[in-house]
Amino acid sequence: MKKDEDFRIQKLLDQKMKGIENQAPETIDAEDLEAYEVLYGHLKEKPGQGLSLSFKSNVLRKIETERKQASDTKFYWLLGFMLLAGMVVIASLFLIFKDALAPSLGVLDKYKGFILIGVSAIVSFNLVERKLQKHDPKQ
Amino acid sequence: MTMVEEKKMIAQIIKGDTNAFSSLVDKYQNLIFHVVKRVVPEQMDAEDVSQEVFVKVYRSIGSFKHQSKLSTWIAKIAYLTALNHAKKYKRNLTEDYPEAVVRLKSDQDNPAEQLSKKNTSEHLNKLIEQLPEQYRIVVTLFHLEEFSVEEINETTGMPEGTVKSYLYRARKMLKDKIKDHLKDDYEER
Repeated sequence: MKKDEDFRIQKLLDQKMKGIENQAPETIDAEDLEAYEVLYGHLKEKPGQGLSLSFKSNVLRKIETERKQASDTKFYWLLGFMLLAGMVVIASLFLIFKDALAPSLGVLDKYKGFILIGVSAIVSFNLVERKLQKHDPKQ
Repeated sequence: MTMVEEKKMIAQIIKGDTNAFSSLVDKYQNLIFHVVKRVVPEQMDAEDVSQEVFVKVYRSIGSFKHQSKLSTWIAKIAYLTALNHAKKYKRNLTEDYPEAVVRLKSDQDNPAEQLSKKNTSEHLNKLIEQLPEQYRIVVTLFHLEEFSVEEINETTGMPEGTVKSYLYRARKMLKDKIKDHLKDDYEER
């Protein structure tokens, strides 16, 4: 049967691919065998158009971005945790020593304007610096 | 690459060694691209998807348990990523009973087609592109990447019997067409 013959030829050539050489039976259609041999030869050839030259560098750049994002995310989580822990510690200290701290709070209250201006100046300076860095082509 | 070398490379990648990952890219970029291109035929899309595959490999390499070869694991990620992309953009996905739908076209009146038929290799490439996606994948993994039937099963999830069946049918379909082409070629000479 025709189907059996195709099966036998394919099996023969599959074994040949693995290095098992068997002689083709005489009953096999020579044209079929030739067509399969051409086909098998073609199927193991690499396709014409491969990857672009910049492919690898694009991949490595994406991975680097991925790593940086993961690292930044960890940093911000850590920073958030430390700020929270710091606030908890300060609040606890205040509650425990509120009587002793009362005079200090008075001072803070007296100079709250200056303190607010100072903190705002530091934050604004940081924001402006970041914006300038973004626009600076050298960086 | 031996299992020991694979484990060493993976350990280095997990530690953040970019040279180790660069070696992995060199070793598997063609495998990934060949698998992806059989599902996503457009060159630029195939490259984009291939890049995405490497990012996924990087993210999940720590979870690779060495229960299969690294190449099989990577090929599986490539295959599934390509399938998702193809489904998302509603590309041609022939699913069941592809033989009922597919007739490999080689009888064209178009002169350009007639000319390309003269080049057996080009002709075969066009015929392979017309195969259903599962046939293309199986044939590529078996012949080009030299995967075993078992490895193709692990990569694609297709049962081994189905893999063998698709392999047989795809090759027979292509053989029948190439036989006519070779006959025409001899007659012309």
